[in-house]
Amino acid sequence: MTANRMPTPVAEREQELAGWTPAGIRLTWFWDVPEFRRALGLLLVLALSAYLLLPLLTLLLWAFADEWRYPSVIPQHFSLKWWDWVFTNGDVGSAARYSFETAPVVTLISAAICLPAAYSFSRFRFPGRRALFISLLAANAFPKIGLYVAIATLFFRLDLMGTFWGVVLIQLVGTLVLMVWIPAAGFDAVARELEEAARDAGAGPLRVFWSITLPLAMPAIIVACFLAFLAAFDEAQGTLIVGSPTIVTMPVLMYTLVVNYPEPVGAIFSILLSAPSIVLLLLARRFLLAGYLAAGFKGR
Amino acid sequence: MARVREAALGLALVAPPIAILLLLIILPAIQALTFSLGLVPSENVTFSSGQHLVRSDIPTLEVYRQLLASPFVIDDLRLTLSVTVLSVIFVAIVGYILALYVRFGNGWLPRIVRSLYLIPMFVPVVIASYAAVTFYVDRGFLASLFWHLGLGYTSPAYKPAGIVITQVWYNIPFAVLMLGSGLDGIEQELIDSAHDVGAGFFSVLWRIILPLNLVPLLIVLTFTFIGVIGSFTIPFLIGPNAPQMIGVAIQAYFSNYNQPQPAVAMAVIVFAIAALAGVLYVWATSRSNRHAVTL
Amino acid sequence: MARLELDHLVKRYGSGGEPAVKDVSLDVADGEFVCLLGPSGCGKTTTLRIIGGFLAPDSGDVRIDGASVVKQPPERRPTAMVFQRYALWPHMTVWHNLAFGLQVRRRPRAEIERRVQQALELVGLPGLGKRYPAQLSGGQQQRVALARALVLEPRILLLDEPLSNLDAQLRIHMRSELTAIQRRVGITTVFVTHDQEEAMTIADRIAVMHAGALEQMDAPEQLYTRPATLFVATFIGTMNVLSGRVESDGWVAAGPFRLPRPADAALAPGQSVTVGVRPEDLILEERGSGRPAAIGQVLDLGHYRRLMLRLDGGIALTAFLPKAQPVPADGCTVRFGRALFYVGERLAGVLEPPPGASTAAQPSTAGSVPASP
Repeated sequence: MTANRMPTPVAEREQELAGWTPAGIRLTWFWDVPEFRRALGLLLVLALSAYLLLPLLTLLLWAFADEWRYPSVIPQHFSLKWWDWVFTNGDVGSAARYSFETAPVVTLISAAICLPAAYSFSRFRFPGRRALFISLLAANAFPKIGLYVAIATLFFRLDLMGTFWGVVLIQLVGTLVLMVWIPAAGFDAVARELEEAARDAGAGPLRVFWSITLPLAMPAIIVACFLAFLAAFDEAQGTLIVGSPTIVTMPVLMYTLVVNYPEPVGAIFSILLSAPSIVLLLLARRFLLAGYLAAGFKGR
Repeated sequence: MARVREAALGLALVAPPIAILLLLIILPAIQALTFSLGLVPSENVTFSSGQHLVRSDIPTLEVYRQLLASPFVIDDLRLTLSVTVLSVIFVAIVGYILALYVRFGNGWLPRIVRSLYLIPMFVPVVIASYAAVTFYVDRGFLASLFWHLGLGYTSPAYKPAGIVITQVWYNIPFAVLMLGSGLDGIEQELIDSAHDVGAGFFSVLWRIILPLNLVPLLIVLTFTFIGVIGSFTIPFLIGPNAPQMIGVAIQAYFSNYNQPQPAVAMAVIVFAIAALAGVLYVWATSRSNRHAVTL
Repeated sequence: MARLELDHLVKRYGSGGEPAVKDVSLDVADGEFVCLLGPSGCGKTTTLRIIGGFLAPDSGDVRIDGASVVKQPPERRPTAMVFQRYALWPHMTVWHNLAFGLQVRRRPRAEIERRVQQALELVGLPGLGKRYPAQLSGGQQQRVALARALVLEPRILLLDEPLSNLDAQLRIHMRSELTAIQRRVGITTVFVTHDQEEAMTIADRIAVMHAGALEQMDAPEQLYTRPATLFVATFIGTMNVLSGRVESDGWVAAGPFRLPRPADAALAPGQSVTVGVRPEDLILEERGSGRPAAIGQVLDLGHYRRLMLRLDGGIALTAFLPKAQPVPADGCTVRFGRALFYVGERLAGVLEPPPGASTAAQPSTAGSVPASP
């Protein structure tokens, strides 16, 4: 990362260019004072941290609370009894199992289907390429709720309602954009010349893909897989319609828990539901460079 | 000949995800559309057993007319649009402030921010909504805090403001990643040369950085718009009961009132609006790719 | 080590519009070092890529040792290319970059090891096998790219402006390294460049290309002394150009000059001709039989001087004077020692100085150049 400094501007010329000053007074005088800038920065960070983290902190506290009444800022009583309840609850166990069974399967199938498509969008020319690429966005643009009755009817006919593969299929839909757009940008970034040089050395198209293109696009693919896993794991609406009451995943269970049970239960469940996300966050820090995500959405 | 072969192979490889798209999105969407136009499919039990059905042999806009004549639905639409627009605006502003700070700030503070803003990305939407509710609700954590500080507190929970706050929270990572990546793409030399001729921070921001970073901004605006307008979970858990966001209303019409036809009509309306945003995205990206300056 | 023939190659980009490569035919002999030279957009890189198999021509043939290869993909052609930006695989070590092609051919490990080492030594980089491309300097990367091409012992070596990314000094150094290696290995080589000094230095023969067509293919010396077209005349070296017309008495009037017709040219009276003169072929005298000229800018370029001359009618000429000859203080006269005559684009004839009379450094002789050589 380059060190970026905004040097102190020359007062009069900034006035001219900014074009907005009453005689002699610069509205942004304080910007030049480094202490002020630093204080502003600190304020920003504190405000942001509070905004982002405090709600999560609240949940964390709730998970260990037995009683927390207004206006206390921390729970009156702490207890682990709800943990006991959650862990011995059969529904929770089975929901966790379903979640951890469907999400990886969805990610793998999504990768198997979408990566070749991503490569094709990147490297091949065929009629309708742009239109088809953009059309994947439709998977996210149509409110899922509006579709699910029609999907449910279809699944009934195909005997997929309440089945594992039905849930996998519905979660798959939400991963399409991620698994095509981001890897496609990754493939784009591999210079043609590198592939040509490999062909020049005698490698056939498959060998070129395997030895050259794929390794170089791998960071983008990994980012896409992370995000697809999270998307599948967190998918709630579709799984609600297709899976329940047989197949209930953690997010779906969350809906009922939140409504029917006291706060600690929901809070504990939130922690459990967040666990894979946190693990991935720690693993992904190296890869989640903004470049791969952004490149995927910049279009072609 | 080779070109035909390339085209055939290309299409074959993209067929699987497109097929899924067709089967699970396009076809159901078309079905929903025709149903909303009054063509009731008899084989679809859920559709054909709904209340207040408008049946017709030819496409008719009667369902839409009835829908838009209902003051409740109009209120829902108005709420949805205002919440969406507000969310988009705030996401853009907050996202931009963060992206600028991370890019141009000095020292260790911006580095902290760089890790911080990613956090909502890893929080499932259900949890995000739930955390927001418990945090902002009347007599919740924030309320307690304000009480201790001697300040009055009106809870945004179960109000439109609550939806906006939570949507912004949830969409910050994507916005900052996109905008930040766009800022990274602006050569430092472009900024330095502006300073060289005497421009100050805000001039550079307004005249150089913002114009050059327009495409990522448009991407953030359209994707956030599309995400918020049809959203369900966040407004369901933290939004008001009346008026509702359209996503929640659709669910209610399906499940509670057993009126599938108005439900799909509302979904079509939302999709039409979202599609407009999508068109904007396509236009913006194709323009940018045409004007890209390669060195 | 092979013969290369290009037979009436045509390549069009997009629909309609000018072809990128127009009916290009040329031969490269076994072991010869040929340059494709021309300005950007002249089709030289396109031609190279057609030879390498990365582009299929719309029509025409590519033959190696007499056998047509135009239908073969790059992985099956006995050609190896060094790309302009080297195209070293960043995720592989230098060793792996070189070994890749051999691994594809499933050579035994011992053989791969041996050949990679040989290739590294050939380009002067022994011991760098474990480095990654990102850790190498530009010159080293270029040599690895060359080694990678050579390790496969191709029959034809193709180089796409490989030196253009190097700084000036390194470029000159690499030029001689490249020719040394090529001579040592004896491999038929085609080298694309837009730098005519580079081409003139290293090539056995140069194919000058312009707007997709082959203008002239000849040894550097020939290109310089007998450029076949006006484009080649002005592209290679410096050339003064004057428009002229054949007069009724057969002499050619070009600007203020009157020149006899060259013996080998069939010029009809009234024809327009273009006359080209190299700066070193202009004879400057204090007071001679040539046309008067005013001396403008004088540039001291080491062992010779460059003079800008102004004559009647707004004619400007560039002349070279050897250091020994003093610059005329107060104007001078100019006459032609050797001139090239072009009808349209093509060379129609050459007016040679009489035997014994050299260019520029002579004391003046009365009268203009004799009528016949």
